[in-house]
Amino acid sequence: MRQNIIRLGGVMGLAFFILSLWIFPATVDGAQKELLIGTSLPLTGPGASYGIPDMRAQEIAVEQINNSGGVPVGSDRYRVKLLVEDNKYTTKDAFATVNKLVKDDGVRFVRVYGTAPVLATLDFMNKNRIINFCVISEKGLSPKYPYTFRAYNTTYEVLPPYFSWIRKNMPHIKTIQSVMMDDATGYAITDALLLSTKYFGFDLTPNYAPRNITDFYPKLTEILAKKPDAIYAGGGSNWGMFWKGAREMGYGGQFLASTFHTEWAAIAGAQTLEGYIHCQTSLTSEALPKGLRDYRNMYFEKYKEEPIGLSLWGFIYIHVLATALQKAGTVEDPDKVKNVLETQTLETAVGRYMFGGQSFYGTPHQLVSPAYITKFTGGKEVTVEVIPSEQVSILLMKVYK
Amino acid sequence: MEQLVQMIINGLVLGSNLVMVAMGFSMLIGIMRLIQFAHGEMYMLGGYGTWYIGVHLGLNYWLALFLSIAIVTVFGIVLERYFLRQFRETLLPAVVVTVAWMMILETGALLIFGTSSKAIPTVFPGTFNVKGVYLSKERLIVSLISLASIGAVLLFMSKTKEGRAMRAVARETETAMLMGVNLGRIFRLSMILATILAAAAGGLLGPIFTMSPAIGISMSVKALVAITLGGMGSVGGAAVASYLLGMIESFSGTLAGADFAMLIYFLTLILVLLVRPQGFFGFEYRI
Amino acid sequence: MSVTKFSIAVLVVVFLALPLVLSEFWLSIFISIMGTIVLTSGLRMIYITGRLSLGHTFPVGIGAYTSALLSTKLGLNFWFSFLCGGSMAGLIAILLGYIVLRIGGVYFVVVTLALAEILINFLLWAKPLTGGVTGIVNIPGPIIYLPWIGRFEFGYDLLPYYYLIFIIMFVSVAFMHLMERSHIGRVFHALRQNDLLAEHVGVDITSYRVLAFAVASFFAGLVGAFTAHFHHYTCPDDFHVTESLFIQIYTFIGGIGSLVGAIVGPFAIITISELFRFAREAQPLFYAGAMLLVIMRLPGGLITIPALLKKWRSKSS
Repeated sequence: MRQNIIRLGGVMGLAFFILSLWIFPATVDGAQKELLIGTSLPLTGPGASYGIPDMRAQEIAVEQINNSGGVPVGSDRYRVKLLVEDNKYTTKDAFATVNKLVKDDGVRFVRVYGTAPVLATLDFMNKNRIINFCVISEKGLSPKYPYTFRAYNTTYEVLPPYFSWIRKNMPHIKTIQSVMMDDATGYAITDALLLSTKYFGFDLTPNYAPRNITDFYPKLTEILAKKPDAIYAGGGSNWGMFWKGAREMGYGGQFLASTFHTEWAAIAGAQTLEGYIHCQTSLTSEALPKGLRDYRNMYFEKYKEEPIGLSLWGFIYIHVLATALQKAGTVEDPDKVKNVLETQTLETAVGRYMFGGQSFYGTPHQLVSPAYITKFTGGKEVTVEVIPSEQVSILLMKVYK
Repeated sequence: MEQLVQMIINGLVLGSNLVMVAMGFSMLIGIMRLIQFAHGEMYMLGGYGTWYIGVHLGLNYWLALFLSIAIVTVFGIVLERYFLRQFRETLLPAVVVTVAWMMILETGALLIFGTSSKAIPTVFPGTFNVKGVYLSKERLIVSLISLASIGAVLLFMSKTKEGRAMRAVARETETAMLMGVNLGRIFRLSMILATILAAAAGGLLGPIFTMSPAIGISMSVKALVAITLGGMGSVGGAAVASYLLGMIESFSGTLAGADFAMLIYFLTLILVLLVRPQGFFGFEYRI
Repeated sequence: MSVTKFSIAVLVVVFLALPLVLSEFWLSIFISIMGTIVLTSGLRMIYITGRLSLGHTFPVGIGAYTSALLSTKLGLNFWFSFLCGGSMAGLIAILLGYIVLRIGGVYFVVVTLALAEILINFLLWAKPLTGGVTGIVNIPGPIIYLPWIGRFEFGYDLLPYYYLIFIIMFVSVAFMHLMERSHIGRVFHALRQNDLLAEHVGVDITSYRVLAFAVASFFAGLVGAFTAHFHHYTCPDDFHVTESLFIQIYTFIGGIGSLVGAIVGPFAIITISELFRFAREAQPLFYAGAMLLVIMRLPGGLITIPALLKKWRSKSS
């Protein structure tokens, strides 16, 4: 009997000891000045196909910066260390990983990817004055969250210049049927659609399709019956089937969207998508600054597949943050960094960026970038117009006053 | 009026997509008393295999389909023999094993084939248009193949010696064994049939839908609902239920909201089970 | 003091002292492990009455949303909404239980899966009430009034939640253990072994099954409510059906023969899977592999390890 208790105690003590070796918080390497940047994104589960490319984009940017000597802040040069955590797109893991990054690893600059993870951690970040960049397709930003920024175009940012171009160049379009996914992103996009189309005088009817839709025929049946001049739609890469189905069902009108997945051309065929107009930049477009085109080449060389367009933001964000820290002259004081982000124009290695959106969000925390109007024609994406950031800013103010 | 006919056609097509996987799932439950959560992964692998051989390596589509089915079936045989057979007639242990394999296969596919959705170019381009009702050629052909497979399976189960042996094992395993049926062979045969059906469905539906590693799980859930509705162990019942569910999805997808459609889907299941606990054609048995 | 009571006391002390060595990350992991233990114990209670549930996220979700809505829309304090969450889950379990527990076997399993799916779809559909896919934000944490310190708000500190969930876990598991030990528990076991016989002896089998189902759901609702307030956020995605599958798997892998198994299961599997976080995208391979290893080699679950070791040693001596 006594022997068993002793054995039990011994085993538990051993387990305790082994566990504490594994799970003691890591000590920080003090040899070279290190700048810790953290990110919590979905690497497994739903959202993995977005999170994984975004992680890679950030890693490529960090490598690029470190190779050119790191970030000069004050009189020091900091080597950037990127801490990556998997939030599995769930509240539980978002909470756990953000706690790890902020409380255990002492990170002061974090990027959280995904609507649910962002919503779960917004309050926490701001209470702890962590400069956080969120990737959330809902409105998200607000004066209530002074340390939250967004370096990522939501549909609120891209639609005003997009529809201004369509209004000017395609006068025959009057009625539009939109189909979005029945989730947070879909609702937010529809909300933005309604605002922009109303301002530019289009008649828009919104529709929704289930999140995990694989067969588009039922939904197509419904909207094609209304015979719209144009259809605006877009979900994941499997939505190429949507366009294919529309043509199969005899629709000859204009296709519109704010995103474009390269898989769509493979799925639907180049002929189906001829004349498609969208406002996402093709990563190989000549109109894109060289620094951003280099990103695509670096990604392809390393991973042998095309990066998704959205991953570009992960790349841009790192450069924007690095430049802001340089200008602020500190990696410790979040208020100084916040000030720089809000007020200054940042000349980064991959272009010039500034934050705005005061009139729509009540706080200038949204990254403003140029708008690229792209047409898919002859099997390729061709940039037909570039609207500079200043003009985009004006359009945003007009539509959202 | 056209919309009604279109909805019916869409419903039949949706049903055909489910039917092959559901029949195989039903066989495994009926004959092997095994709830195989990883069955949807066979469907996913069949699709990915066809894509890899047909698109990535560039071989002929039908050859790719055939090879893909063959490879996935071989995998299925090994899986059954070493991981599934010993968990027959158990409920919880079977769930553990099959869910574990479901995750391994899904993660494996993600790691091997990458994160972007894959697509197979259309094999039968073109659409039929009859008085405003649309049906693409490839959907029609896939639906016909599905119907043919139902016929083939039912014929097999009723006319051939092996088929009758399978049904005997499903009804009364011990008696069948006493009568000289080699259980091991029957189990292997069931797995082969079920996997061929699932992998074929994956490869056939590849040009119609796109493939991502996650399609396995959603197919498993749908198939599970279908076989429960149709009655556990009844292959014919699974087929009928598949078409019924396809109709429900088509009508509610076009008429009502998306989430409402799924609500109806699952509520139907529960209501039917309350009235008729063994589904449409199932026979009662206890695990 | 008996061995069992002594080891329990030791374990309690260890659990209470763990926060001294754990990082914030592991604290939050252990908090969710303890919540899961309540769920696995409840599932086991349903299991011993002869029913298998693969939809335990149903009561968890009911508890979470009830509590979240009461706190955010009506401003009620945590303790009240928390108890309401559990009670609502228990109540709905009683109402539904009388209807669905009559169905048995594999069919019941599928019904529980369907219920879990219905909940998610309902939460998504009833947007004005539940916030739809966005969920409910800014759920306040508990506030208590301590002697000397006065008003204490849990906020974003993890430590108070750790002790709170520990108490919840202790009370729930103790309650279910005592229930199993009482004559009610004997009836439960009888139902699993031969319910026809029990029925012929005059036992109202459905009522006993409903009792187990309701108790398990009540505690599951409490855990759901706790978790919503702990994260200060909840959304339909938190109650995905794969989570239901996993909870049942943890129960079984621990060892369904005894309540200790329900405690060991989540602890072992979740800890192991977290240790493999460095594998990033490949992480599921490792914990799925661990699950396979256990199920193939240890059919009785992890709690059979000490007995096997004993047999091993006595064989070689």
